[in-house]
Amino acid sequence: METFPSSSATSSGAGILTPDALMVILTWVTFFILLFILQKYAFKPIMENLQKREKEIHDALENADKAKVQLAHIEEEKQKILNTARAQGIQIIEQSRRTARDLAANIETKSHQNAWEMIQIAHEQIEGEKQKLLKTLRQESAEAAITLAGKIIKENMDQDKNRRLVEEAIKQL
Amino acid sequence: MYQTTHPFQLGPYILHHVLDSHEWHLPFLPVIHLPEFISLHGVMIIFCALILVVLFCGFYRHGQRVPTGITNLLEAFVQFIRDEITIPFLGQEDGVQFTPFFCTLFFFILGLNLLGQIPLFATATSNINVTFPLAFITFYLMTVMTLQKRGLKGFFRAIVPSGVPWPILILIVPLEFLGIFIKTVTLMLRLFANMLAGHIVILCLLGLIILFGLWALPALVLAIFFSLLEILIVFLQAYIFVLLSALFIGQMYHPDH
Amino acid sequence: MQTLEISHLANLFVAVGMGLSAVGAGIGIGQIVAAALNGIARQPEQTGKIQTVMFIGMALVEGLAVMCAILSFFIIFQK
Repeated sequence: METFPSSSATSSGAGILTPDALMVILTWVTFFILLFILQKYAFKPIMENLQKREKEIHDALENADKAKVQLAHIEEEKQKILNTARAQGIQIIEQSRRTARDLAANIETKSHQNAWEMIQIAHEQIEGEKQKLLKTLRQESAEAAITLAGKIIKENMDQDKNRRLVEEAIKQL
Repeated sequence: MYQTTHPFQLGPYILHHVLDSHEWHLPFLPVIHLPEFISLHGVMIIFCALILVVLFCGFYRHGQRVPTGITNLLEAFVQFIRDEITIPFLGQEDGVQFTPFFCTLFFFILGLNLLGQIPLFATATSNINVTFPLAFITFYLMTVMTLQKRGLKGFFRAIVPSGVPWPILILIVPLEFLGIFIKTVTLMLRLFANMLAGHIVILCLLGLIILFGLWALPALVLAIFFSLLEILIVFLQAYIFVLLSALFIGQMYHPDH
Repeated sequence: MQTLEISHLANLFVAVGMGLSAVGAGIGIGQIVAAALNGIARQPEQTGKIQTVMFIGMALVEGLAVMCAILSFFIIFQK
């Protein structure tokens, strides 16, 4: 180690900074061959794969976004339908309630009327019956009075006079 | 080992381990003498290129819908470079077109750096003859490709900032023009210096142990710690190289922003 | 004692230069991390972005310091 290993050029500097043209050319050649080989066989597929994957992710994200927007639309429509359905339901309920109330009122009035009519008929019937009863009662009481009076006034009664008296008495009743 | 045959000298010890040479010392094997036209760092470069080809073309499974394992890792890196580094600086269509170049650059530099951290291999990027071509490619893209794509007028629109009154313009345009060269040189030097300094520090610490015997054993702990730190520096420097390349090229292609 | 040669003096000055560059790097990185801490304290949810920018700034500042160190090695190990 007492002598420095010298490269081809002798210069004043130490061996560190000596220029060596062979090495420079070797580096150039190796680098460009490496660049050519890698570009053809390695980096083209890698770049294509990267781009393809990015496109796939981009498309998937776009589809996800579109699906989200569609979902929002469907949600809106669903809400609308629900709202209309609810409104219709309330309407139907109201209507049916009203009809029920009207029906109930109708039935009430009708039944009132029926009852009133029946009561009227019953009254008339009762009146008729009462009149009939009164008439029969009068007749029977008149006949009873006549028989009684005939029996009491045995001989004084003429046929005609009897009849005339009885008729006047009936008239006066 | 050293004390018996030669007195130990720290300088040559460090330089021997850091410089490019035509011999490869492996344990339990005789010294491998490399041929004249390829040196140790050259072997490292070719080795790294082979590993990258095997990794990308062999281990990558095509046609997976949800990637797993190495496929996932590689795709994550490519996507990171495309979305964070190229597209913000170069726009959409230029960014996608340039992504393979920046990916290759990133993995090449990262692979070379990482190979140097393995104890028996050497760091090729600690050789300035390796970082110079890589920075020169960026320089080429900055100047020649801009001239090709946007014409001479576009090139000048990139150099001249807009909305500046013309007396100051005379001062600024040479500075901007010089700035192109300076940016390239700093790119090259930054990577080279970081890698080299890391190795030199570790070798210094180990050399301390050899010099002072067992009294310097805490230096071993420090050397291990610095090796761990250097892994972070490796990733960071590869990322910075690619980021700044994209930044400079983007400044030339799209000078409006 | 050996004679004081120019190369020894050069080594001394190079060492001083390296120390100065380390001071510069220390101050620069301290400022960067302080600003990053400020930002994280104000908006904890932006921690990722702030960390990224902090690492980029740190790499640039350390690059300068390391370039200076390499030039020092270059001068020291001159033939």
